[in-house]
Amino acid sequence: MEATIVVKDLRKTFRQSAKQMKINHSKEKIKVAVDGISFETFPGEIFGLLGPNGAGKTTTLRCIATLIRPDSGEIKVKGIDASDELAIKKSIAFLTNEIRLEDQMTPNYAFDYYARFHEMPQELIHARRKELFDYFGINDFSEVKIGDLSTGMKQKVSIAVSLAHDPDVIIFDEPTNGLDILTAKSVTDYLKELSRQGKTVIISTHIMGLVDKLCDRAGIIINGKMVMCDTVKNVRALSPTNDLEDVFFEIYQKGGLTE
Amino acid sequence: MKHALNIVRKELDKIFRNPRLIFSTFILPGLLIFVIYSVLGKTLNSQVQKANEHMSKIYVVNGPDSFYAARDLYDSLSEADPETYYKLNADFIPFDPSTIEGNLPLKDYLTGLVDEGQVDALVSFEADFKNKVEAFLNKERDTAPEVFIYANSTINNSSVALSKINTLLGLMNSTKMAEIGNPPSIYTGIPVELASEEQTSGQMIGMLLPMLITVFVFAGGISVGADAIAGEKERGTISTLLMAPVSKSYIVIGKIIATIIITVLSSLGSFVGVIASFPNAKELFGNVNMISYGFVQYVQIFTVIILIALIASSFFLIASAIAKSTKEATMYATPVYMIAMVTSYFPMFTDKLPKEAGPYLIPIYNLILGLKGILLSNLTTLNFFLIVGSTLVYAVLLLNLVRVLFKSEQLMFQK
Repeated sequence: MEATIVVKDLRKTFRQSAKQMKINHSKEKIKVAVDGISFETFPGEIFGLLGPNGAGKTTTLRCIATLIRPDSGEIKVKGIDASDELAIKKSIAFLTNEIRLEDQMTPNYAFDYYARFHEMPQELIHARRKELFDYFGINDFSEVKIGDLSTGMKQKVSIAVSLAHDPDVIIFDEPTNGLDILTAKSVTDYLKELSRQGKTVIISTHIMGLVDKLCDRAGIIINGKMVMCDTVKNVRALSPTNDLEDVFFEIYQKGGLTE
Repeated sequence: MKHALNIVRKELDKIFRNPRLIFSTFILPGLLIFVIYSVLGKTLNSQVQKANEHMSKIYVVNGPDSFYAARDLYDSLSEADPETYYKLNADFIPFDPSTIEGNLPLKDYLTGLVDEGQVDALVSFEADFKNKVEAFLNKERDTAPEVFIYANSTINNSSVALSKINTLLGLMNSTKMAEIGNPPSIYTGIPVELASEEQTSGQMIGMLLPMLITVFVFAGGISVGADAIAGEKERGTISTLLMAPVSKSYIVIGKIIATIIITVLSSLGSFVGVIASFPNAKELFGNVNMISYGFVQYVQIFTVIILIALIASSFFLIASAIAKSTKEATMYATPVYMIAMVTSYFPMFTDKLPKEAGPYLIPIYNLILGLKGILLSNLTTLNFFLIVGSTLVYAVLLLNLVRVLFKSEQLMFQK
């Protein structure tokens, strides 16, 4: 099977300001966020990037989404090189808690506004909007200003908007962060549904349970390095207790990384 | 381009779908200006009317008989033809400066009296005025004897008294001319301003229109421009926009067009407010007749307003791209606003437009010069196109900088 996302030797550094150096208790002007990460994802699978905060998960996903440029390494999405930003953006959906919609827009307005960037005909925009709003239960709120919606409903609208163009690759940074249990469930259910439709879903999280329940394969990132990448089943099997959390802490401790 | 238009539509909808924003952006500024200037104008007009009806108290030093004769002549003319010769309404009181207590200089002495309204003006003829005039006319002396008029141009009663004195001096000249035929101008009053600098500056507003337009455009654009990119960062919507499959150049074009449209509409509201207040504010702006300008001049004024909006918006977008929040962007943009304000003052104090090309190429300053030139009807076509051309070049350079800033990961994703 041909890989939908190929990441090879990805490296990304950031220049730290004096303030950031102070916050990070570091004297290094350059912070290595991602240090030679490689992995592949395939159609119909949910791939999880697991790691603590600051491990480099979000940076990796932003590089794939072409929001930021890597220092070195190779990224291909559906065979398209990451240097072709517009083509990549047309074939992926990138979701994060940081991706928000304007408060004064209504869900209907926001959906149409962003969908038009994908050069979708108006009829298709309407059809996709109906399909996604039906699924996430947004219809009753479609003319309510986004600023007046609950956090969960805002997140659902964001998801619907980012999936307007029906992409084959869905990248979701911390998908359940800040969501109530019911909204989180509807989001994870939808991600499963997308993978059933043959789409590639890649998520980042620090929540072991989410990877355990949702992902087919997982990559564990610690300090910018991919320390393990395998099926969730195989990773879990490394522990006598068959518990992903135990495996994670064992790897973490072996690396001498516990505080 | 359709992506840029998509952004334009969204930016405009943000304003036009919010009645409060429509009111505060387009209607309120013009309304406020109309009300302020109208109230100010009405007040000034009624003050002038009162001053005309006021019995002026004018001190006369060494007043020659010919001065009092001119007064009597005027009174008789006024009686005969009150339509042409308004009633003089003036008491001329002989005054001797040597009676001033404490050796206070005449000017200082009068300043207080005029401020308090005890006296409205003073006309001072040189001692032995009549003989000196004769000596001058017989070429026995080189200069005509001097006449000084002490008045405060910022106090209506005083400035009206000054014009009454000038009327009588003019009548003295006419009388002399009738006597001896075409004499050199003898009875010319030399004004001595009793007003302080602060008082006179209030009268400068008649020359302020180019400055006002610049202020309106910059003030109208600063909040919209500052919000254009920094607002998206602050609200967390910048990533959503950057994830759209659209080139950053089109995003910048969309942002600048929307900012210019809102800025121009907002400043036009203010401009209309000023024009609407002209009939009520004649004393403030002078007798401005906007109808006297032709179609070409109106097109030129509108073009310059758009160019000011373009330059202002470009600067504001740079501030907006650098800043993390709208508030911060406004702070960054404020110095540009201040520079524009200060620059807009310079051409106010010059009567003539520069002839050389250089000043017409200086950003912002050239636009204010242009406005002044258009309003005075003496801007050449070449200089107009120099202004348009150079401003477009500056705008392209500035917007290219915005595009570069837009590509900066650090600026777009900084927290």
